[in-house]
Amino acid sequence: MSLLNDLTQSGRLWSASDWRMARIHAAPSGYAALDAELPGGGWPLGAVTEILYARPGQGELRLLLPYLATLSQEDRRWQAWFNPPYRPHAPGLAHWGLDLSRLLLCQAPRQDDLLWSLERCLSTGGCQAIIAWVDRLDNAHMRRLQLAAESNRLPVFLLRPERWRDRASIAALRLQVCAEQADQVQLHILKRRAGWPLSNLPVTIPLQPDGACHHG
Amino acid sequence: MAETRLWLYIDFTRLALQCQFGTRDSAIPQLLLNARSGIEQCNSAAEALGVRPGMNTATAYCLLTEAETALYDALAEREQLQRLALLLYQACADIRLCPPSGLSLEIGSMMRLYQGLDTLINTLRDRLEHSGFHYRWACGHTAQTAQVLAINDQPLISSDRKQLIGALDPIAVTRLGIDAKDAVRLQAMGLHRYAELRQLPRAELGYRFGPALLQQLSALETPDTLGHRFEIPPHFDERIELSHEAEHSASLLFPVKRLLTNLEDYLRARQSLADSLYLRLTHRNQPATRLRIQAVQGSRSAQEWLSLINLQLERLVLSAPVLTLQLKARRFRADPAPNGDLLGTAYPDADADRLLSLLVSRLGHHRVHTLATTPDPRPEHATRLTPAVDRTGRTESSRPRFQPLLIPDTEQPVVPQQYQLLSGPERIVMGQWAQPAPYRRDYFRAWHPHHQQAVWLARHDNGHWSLAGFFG
Repeated sequence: MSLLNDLTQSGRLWSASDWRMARIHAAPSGYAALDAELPGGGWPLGAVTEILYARPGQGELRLLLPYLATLSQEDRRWQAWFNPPYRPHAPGLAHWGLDLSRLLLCQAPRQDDLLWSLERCLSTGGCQAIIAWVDRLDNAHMRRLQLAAESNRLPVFLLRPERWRDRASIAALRLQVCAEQADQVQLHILKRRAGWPLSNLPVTIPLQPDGACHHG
Repeated sequence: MAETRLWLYIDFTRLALQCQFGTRDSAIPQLLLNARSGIEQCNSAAEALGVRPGMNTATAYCLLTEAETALYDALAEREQLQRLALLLYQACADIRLCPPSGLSLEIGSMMRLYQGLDTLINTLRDRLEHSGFHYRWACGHTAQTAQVLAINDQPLISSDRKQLIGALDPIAVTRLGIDAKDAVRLQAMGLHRYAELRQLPRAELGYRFGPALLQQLSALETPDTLGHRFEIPPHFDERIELSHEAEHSASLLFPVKRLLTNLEDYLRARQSLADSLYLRLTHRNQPATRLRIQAVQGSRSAQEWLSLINLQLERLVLSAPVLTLQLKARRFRADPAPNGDLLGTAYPDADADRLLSLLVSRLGHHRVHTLATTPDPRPEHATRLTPAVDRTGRTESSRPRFQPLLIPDTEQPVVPQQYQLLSGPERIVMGQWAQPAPYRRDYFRAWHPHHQQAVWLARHDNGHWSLAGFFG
């Protein structure tokens, strides 16, 4: 019975009638429409979140930035970005309020280096969050990442190409981003803890953060 | 209590031998041969079988059924003496090197710190025992007396002045370190011990033997220093010749560990931390392999350095077998005062620094960066990537702009008709002083309805359009 309680509390086991009651550690994403649908009311902490997108510029990074910016200002540890497909543009990131001095940009072209580094980021306690652009990732490795993230209560965001959509994945949360307009996206929640999948969730993701419109 | 000068002389009897074969006692006789094919030094196993230093090699071989031999290496011996001085330097400030195998320590001035001779001697003894080198020692009221007593196996440890002066009396004149010819003549006159020599009027001795003897006798009696004062070398630079050619990088770990232990002693004596090490692996016919190992915020612990070096070594494929290892440390930083919180846990950034050291060791310096904005308005120059280990640590002013999040390294030409422009032109112009080719571009935020991408387009002066960035 206690196992059942444990599983229910951590959101792995949920009943359809009270799914919103599951206690999952999460942090607000900065987008109210999305938070309402995410278990725990935001990005899960201590879990792998997979974001699938077709091409850069669809809002896949803007979706994360409000949360990452807040985190970078509150936490003195590194925010590790792995293998971005293009060079991150410092003025643009600063515009979103990201504290650039916390940002650690890593290139790990070899797969074993990447996995080693990700695990080290999670286990040494010197890191606040991980954002990694990855393509292939087999389930065994994903599972190791998920376990490491869980035991260290750190969020891991994997940005992956859309074609991995139909593959099974161990990630706790899977989202697919489909842009409709420059600042309008349809999110498909492919998998979430304590909840059913959900398609076509419209979210407004502006090209610049809300507060900055007047200066921009 | 007035400070009196007191000297301690330490003689390392088998320094060169132990330097070659290691400090562990071996059951196999070990011989150190000098260039004149005589025995320079031998271990106790060889001595038990009748071998003595100074013996002819052929004679020694007749006495032994098996033996390990090595050639005497004066340079290695001198380096080892330096290392031993470094080891003692943490306990005693004034150390003088007396090559080939002696150290002269002025311990009188250290008495007040240690509150007595016993504590100091125990501290020194602990360090010496730990090093594993054979030694003999003696105190003396002059440096020279201490040396004579130590070499004659009179282990007198005392600060009692009368006892110290009297200790020299029974020493034979031939062992006083005076000229051998003079000693023979003194013996012919019936003077065998120092006690008898001491009582003679000096003027008469000088008349008969010349000023050299008088000088040597007065050196025994007046406080004078011996040898050069030991100073910590400004850099750490040590090498190890491997006894066999190492073909796999994993087999280098053990010798590296030895070097790192020496490094730790060195850093402790300097009271500083090293922030980067250079490891050089030399091969027979190929240029040496160089590794740079970095610990952010510096480190002293051999264990920590070993784990960082291990990360590099396990990925290193050796192009040829390794003959020697050389470890250098040139940059040091002050040992940070313990400024942690009240509970005494490490300073808060320690974990972040350790993570960075690990990542840099595995991925390489050129793959781990931090970002900063620059004053340059040209988007391709507005981001500065700094290797993360070189970051200065001061907070830089950030210059936010409403610009994209990702920028391609090369500009890709695009057809503007495929895009919907979302904003009017934003012109960026650079004067000729900044770059020779005129720089004037109009930037537009745009939407590609087909690809569903929010991008940044640039219209060049010549009418071409290019893709300048992605709004992530």
